[in-house]
Amino acid sequence: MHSIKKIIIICSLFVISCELHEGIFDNPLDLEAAEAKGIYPPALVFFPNNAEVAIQDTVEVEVYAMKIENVGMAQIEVHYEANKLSVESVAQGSLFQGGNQPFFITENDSNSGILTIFITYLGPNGKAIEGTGDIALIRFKPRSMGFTEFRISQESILLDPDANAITLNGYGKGIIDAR
Amino acid sequence: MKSLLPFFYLFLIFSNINAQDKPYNTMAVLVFESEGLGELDRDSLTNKFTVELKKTQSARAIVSQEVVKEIMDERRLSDEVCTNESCAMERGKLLGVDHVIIGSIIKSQNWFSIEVELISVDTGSVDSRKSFYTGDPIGLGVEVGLLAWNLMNKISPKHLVEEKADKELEAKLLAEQRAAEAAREARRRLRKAKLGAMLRSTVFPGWGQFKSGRKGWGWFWLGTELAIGGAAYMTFTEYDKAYNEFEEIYPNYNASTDHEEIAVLKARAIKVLDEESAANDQLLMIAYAGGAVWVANIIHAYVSGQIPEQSAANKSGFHLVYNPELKSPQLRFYIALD
Repeated sequence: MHSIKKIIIICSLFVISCELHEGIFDNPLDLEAAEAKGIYPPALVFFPNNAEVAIQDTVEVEVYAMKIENVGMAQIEVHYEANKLSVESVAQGSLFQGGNQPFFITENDSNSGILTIFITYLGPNGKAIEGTGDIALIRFKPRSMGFTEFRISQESILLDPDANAITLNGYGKGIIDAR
Repeated sequence: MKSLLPFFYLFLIFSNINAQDKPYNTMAVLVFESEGLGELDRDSLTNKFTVELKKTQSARAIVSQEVVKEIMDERRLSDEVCTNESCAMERGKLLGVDHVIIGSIIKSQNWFSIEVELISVDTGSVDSRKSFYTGDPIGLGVEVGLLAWNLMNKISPKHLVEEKADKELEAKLLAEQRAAEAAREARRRLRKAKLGAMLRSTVFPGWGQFKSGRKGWGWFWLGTELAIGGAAYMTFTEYDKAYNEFEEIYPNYNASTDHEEIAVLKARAIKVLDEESAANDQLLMIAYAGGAVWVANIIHAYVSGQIPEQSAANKSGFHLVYNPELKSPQLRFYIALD
């Protein structure tokens, strides 16, 4: 009986294999990964789109424009769960940054959980911007433990220099896990 | 002690008076020579022979063992056992008898050889009888008794023949019992040796075979496990390399905000992930092979068990030895010639 136990222990050593990586490719700016989620350029997404954080800490999330063309101004609405998250601050990103400081205003309705960001490109090199880049940096603070979701509303709009609306093909979402 | 001697001579004279119907006149049995037997057993068997010889009524007078011993002690000859005719004739003259019986009892491994010689003191002529006895030493007394009757050319008494048959049966049963015990013991030892070999091979492949004397198999199992171990190490190195590379690429992929860089990093990460997975699969396969070989080695150690000890006659081989005369090493070949 004793020898059988020994054999089992030794055999089980062979059965245990090595640890393997899962290989989850979900960078929000990965075009293939975004496509799998139904987000196609031009789109507005969060980067990063998920975070784990302690309840007393803040989370920095950037609002990214993905492959936009000929954009002169943007009005972005971020919806969040007001009972679970609070917006600590909002800073302007680098995409609309030209020689002149862009026009950048934020409005936070902490009761309904809606943050609105207004930004306008003011040159001097041309009237519009293009490409992929960060528009704003939002600092969230969790209010309670657990998962909470925030998203870019479909009310968000991008306009060209002539104030024509540009169709967006994707609106990003993000998740914060507060512990 | 000297007080017995006058009675002894009177006994001899008296026996000559009734010397008509017996083939031998006076006779003495000298202490038998023995090999593999204690002095006490030897004396007891000589005495038994003498007693039985008297029962044959072939001699008019047979000197008892006490008297023979006393006379030999007197002459300081008791320590010397008589083994040849001249000695027997000399002792016979000392004892004043016509015939002397000398004998030998030799114990070999499982059998006894008993030989007695009737020697005429006057002529030195010899009448010899030999007997082989196989069995327990308890039955040896009966055999010696029968030999006394045989030497005197008399039909052995029924009780002795029956006793011999009983002893033979007893010896046979005893031998069977011992054989059964020996077989049981051999089986127990074999089982113990097999379990020992199995446990050793469980701890370390080939160890049980080495311990059981199957060096070839020992090297085979050990070599196979080492080869598998080597292959496992190489595969693990590949796995480890892929694992570390992925650990390096993946955070960069997650942190990157450039579409092109993301695509490149992702492609690299997927490739490395495939390599890691392939190495892991291979490692798993090798581990299973190693485990199977290990188990086979354990089973083999148990099934094959201890190698039977080679007899000296079958032994041959080479030895590398140091020759102190030449002060150099020498390769020696040896072969048993028996």
